[in-house]
Amino acid sequence: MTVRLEGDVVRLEGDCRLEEAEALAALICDHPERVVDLSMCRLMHSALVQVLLSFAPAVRGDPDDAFLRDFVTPILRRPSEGPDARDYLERQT
Amino acid sequence: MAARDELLEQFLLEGRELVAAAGEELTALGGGAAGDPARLDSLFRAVHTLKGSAALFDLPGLTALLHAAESALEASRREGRLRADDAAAAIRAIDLTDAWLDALDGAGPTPALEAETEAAAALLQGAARAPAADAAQPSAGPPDWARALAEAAGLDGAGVAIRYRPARDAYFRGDDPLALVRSLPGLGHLRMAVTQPPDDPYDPFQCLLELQAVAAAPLADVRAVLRFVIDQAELAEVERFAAAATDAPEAGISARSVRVEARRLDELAAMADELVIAKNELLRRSGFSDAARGGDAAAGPLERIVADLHGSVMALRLTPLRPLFDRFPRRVRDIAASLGKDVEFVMSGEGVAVDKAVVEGLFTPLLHLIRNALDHGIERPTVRRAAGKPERARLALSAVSHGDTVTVELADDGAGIDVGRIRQAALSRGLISAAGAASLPDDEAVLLVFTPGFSTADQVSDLSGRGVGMDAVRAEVARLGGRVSLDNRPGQGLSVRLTLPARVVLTKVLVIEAGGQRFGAPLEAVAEMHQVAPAEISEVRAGRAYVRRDSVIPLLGLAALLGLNAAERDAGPIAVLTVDAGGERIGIEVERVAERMEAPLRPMAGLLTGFPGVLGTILQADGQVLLVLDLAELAQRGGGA
Repeated sequence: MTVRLEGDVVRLEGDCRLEEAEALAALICDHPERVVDLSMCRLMHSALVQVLLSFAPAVRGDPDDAFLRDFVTPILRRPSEGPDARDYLERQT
Repeated sequence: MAARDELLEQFLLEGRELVAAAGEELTALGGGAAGDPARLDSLFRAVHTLKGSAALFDLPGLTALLHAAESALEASRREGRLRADDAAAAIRAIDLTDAWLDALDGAGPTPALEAETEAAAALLQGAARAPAADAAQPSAGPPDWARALAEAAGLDGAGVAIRYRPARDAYFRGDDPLALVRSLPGLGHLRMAVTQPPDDPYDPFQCLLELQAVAAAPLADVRAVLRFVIDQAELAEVERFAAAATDAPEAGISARSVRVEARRLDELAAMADELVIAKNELLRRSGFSDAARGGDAAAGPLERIVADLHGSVMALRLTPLRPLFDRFPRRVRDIAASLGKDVEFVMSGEGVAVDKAVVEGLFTPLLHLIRNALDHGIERPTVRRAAGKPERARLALSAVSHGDTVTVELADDGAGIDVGRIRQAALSRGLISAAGAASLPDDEAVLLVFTPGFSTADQVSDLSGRGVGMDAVRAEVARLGGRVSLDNRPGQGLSVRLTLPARVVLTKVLVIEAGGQRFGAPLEAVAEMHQVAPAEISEVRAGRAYVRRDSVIPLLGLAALLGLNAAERDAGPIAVLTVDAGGERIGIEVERVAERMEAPLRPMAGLLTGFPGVLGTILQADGQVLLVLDLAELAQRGGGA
């Protein structure tokens, strides 16, 4: 259960691999109100990132993984133009 | 929430500084230094940093505008000189950013501002695309996208810019493009986007990603990581030195300075004040302040150290006028444009340092004066031409330091004040009599504009002269311990001069009442305050006295000392302040001790200079003047008489 629906929240947990992309797309493509929570996500395959970029659901939670947190989630939060990761990092410190 | 507020505070502060810095560079670049690479870089950086902050605060319109301005400046940088179009773009973007900062600081952005920003961004983006199309000349060095990416990444040194568009069947082939990028050595920046909107039905296994990244690593190492997808990626070596060469002097300064919250400085200043008072009391009690006993030698070092500390802390509050002045050029442009007037705005003396209370307090009165000058003083171009003046008016804001005081002057070459109309207006408002109006010299009649109530909003529209809220300007400047004077040259212009203390020294004052009136007494001069029951007071010859801690303290009435009639008093205890006068402790009876306040003390001026027993005045919030008394002097005179 790495992609799980809980109320209106879609949770990505642990290692989310290519096979999960279809399930994720199914959960959010017709439900723009659903929020995707990444706080428990450890790894995300490109295909899932692509789903999130394509349907641009609201994304919340900071994954523990530094790459996901610092490079990927900022882009998912602002699908049109991800803020500069460097600025983001500066703000964090 | 608190964290966000703090961030916003920080953004407002930094944003203003960046806007000011960009404005400065734009002025310099526009003034003949168009090819100065250091200034171009500095301008670019300011815009870039502002963009980053705007994105952080989720201001998409502003971000887009700054992004467009950044791209325009990038083009100028490539050319090595600021192109006129790009300068205009940058000025527009910086002006709007300034307006956004004001909005964020106040009531929030208006729909009009948002619309204006969007329109400006769209215009800039359109303009940027046009020349980009013919900019396909084979240029040495990395391609534009790579440079822009390195810039966005803030790359410092050498690195590789990567544009990676995986094949559509990448997922089927078992590639995970993101994982590949993740393993790049020295990854410093990542952008990702989908190349097309989702199909219906959506095929999750078709790769539609484009990834852009910057890696601070040798090309060979990057190539090694991407070797299996090298046909799908563009690599370009880029080199960028973020701050090293151009910033050296600035970096040196910033490394040695520390940003401190204004509130902490205020606290520090307040503590330094209290230290002075505590020191005075300590010296008094210990007898060290008694020069006759040689105590002053022992107290010398303490006195000096406390005085030095107080002076240093007050000096910390000195800030240059620049951030204040830099807020005006955009406003002048906006107001002048809205009035259809052509104005050259020049500033000088921005480096003059004054107390931060003055810097903060001057914005409103200066803006008021600037509006007046543009609206009522400076004539329309056609009128100016008819009067034989250049169509382009000149408005000059300057500051000059004279040691303890600073003169801030706003001078225009407009029509000046029509003294006749001022007389008429004052007459019609009953401020002066017909005879008074006739006999009043011009230079004094002009001063009528400072009379409270001379003008209110509905009365100004018919008045071609100034006088619009001048009393408000005067009051605000007076609150800062300054004064306003005018140099009116009818037909040729008006100069409004604000003379201000460079350092506002706040005096702690006790407000007391005597003879039914309010007075101030410096807290420092008051040794003790207590209540004395009427029964404790004995009549000693012509005077009165009471006993306190085994000593007899003569008691004087403040009302009598001031030649006022003392108010009726009941049989309850009376309020007494004791002061040390001429080596003797003296009690002074007051009718009431009202409150303490801290305010700039203005020395007596004009006729009142020689008035005995008065130290100065404090302008109160309601516009009333509080006389601050020298109780010791009054007591001595009263006691001796």
